[in-house]
Amino acid sequence: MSKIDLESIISIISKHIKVAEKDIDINSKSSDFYQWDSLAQVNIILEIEKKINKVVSASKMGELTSVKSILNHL
Amino acid sequence: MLFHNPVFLFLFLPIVFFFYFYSKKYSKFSYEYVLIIAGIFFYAWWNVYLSPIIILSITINFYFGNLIKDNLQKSLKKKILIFSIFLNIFFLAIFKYADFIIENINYLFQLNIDTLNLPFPLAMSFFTFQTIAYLVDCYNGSIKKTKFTQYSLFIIFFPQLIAGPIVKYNHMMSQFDNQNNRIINRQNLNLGLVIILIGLFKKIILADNLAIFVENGFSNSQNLEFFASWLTSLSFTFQIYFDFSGYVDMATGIALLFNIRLPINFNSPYKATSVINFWQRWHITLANFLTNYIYFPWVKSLKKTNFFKIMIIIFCVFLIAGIWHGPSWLYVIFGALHGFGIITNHVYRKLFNYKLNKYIACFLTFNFINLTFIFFRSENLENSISIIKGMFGLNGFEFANYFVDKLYIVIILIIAAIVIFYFKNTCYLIEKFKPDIENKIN
Repeated sequence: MSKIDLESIISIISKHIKVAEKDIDINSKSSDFYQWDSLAQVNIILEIEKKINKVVSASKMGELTSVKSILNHL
Repeated sequence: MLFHNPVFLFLFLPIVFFFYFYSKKYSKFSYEYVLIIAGIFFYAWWNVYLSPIIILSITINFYFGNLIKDNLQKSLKKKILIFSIFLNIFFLAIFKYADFIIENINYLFQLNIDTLNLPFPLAMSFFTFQTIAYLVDCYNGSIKKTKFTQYSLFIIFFPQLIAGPIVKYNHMMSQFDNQNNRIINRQNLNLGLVIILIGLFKKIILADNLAIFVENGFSNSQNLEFFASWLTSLSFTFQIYFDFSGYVDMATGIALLFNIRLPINFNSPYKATSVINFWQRWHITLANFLTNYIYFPWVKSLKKTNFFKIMIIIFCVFLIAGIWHGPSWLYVIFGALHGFGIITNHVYRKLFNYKLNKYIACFLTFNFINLTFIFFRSENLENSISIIKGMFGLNGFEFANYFVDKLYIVIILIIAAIVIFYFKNTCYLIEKFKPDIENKIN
């Protein structure tokens, strides 16, 4: 399993919600950005899965809606 | 028994409140028995002969939950989960959709099968979804230990039994298990009473008055000209919000009397700036259920995903959301329109990184929602089309007479619009309101 750090998570989120990386930090959560919708959530988790080579369960998918929760889970 | 029924407000609720807080002297778990008996009584008040159905559902699903939790073999756990979900949906389909399916088969194949005319058990759509969420959470391992009384209380807790919000087991049990919640909390009591009053105002003053006009409009849809069509459709859009959110407010307020916080179900939905945003604000617990228990698992089940496949899934999820509301093609159309609206939003976001002006976006979204609610309320498709035609001026204009006759409804609509677009909502109140009764009395 590959490791993933805070910067990579922010970079993935930034790519999928089309918000500059500087506007996202460890305290950011989905409700802070209108672009972080359920489609963006799917794309973010799928890309993280690819990067860490580990499957995130469907039940976890709905819980990982903040930078902190993603980081803690991984 | 509905929440605005005087028997509920002045007899049932005070009695349950008294026993809930004062029976703790006699047993540590008496609160569970009080609320379970109250729930069964509340449910049976509507139809005593159908109340065994919910008791049977609780017993069977508790057993399924334990089977799922206790089984060590993952493949067997999955089979039990699938079977138990199938059984729940099957019973919902029998009671709610059997006649709808029979009528459609008769129409399609020119048959004459008799309809079953089964009575529909109250709240079955809600407790079925809540049960499915429980079973899936048992499978995922997020629910560890359950007692029969705790599970019964989770399903039959009377404030949220009839019209939601759809709650999750862990959210509720952590509150029921907290011993501090079995002592009267004056702040929760005051806040709960204020929220019940807000709910009553929304339901009795706004929704019920608008309902009279809505009923008139939809039953005479062929004769509605431009202004009457707009007033009818707007009245229903406001009525359904005040009706539903008023009822949920009352549920939230009643639960707070028992120191239980229900999840937020409405967050100023008509201030939404897109259809996606609307579903983040309207019937939030249903949207969360659909996202977490249908949409995400469905997407995850695909070997390869792409934008097109995900859009198809979103559309199907909204068809399910539509038909969940009732056995009618008009609900399916309502769901399909919302699915189409969401897909349009996603396509727009994919192609353009440009955010529309907030007020323009809100105006466009509100009008779209208003249009879709016509299908939600109409008796048939002709009814809907006739009102939409009227809104586009195809049934003529009669400005002067109309406003003189229907001035009262215009006034109620203005008050409703002010409440919706100007005032803070109930969840803001729950977060911010800090009553200080003692100082006020002094």
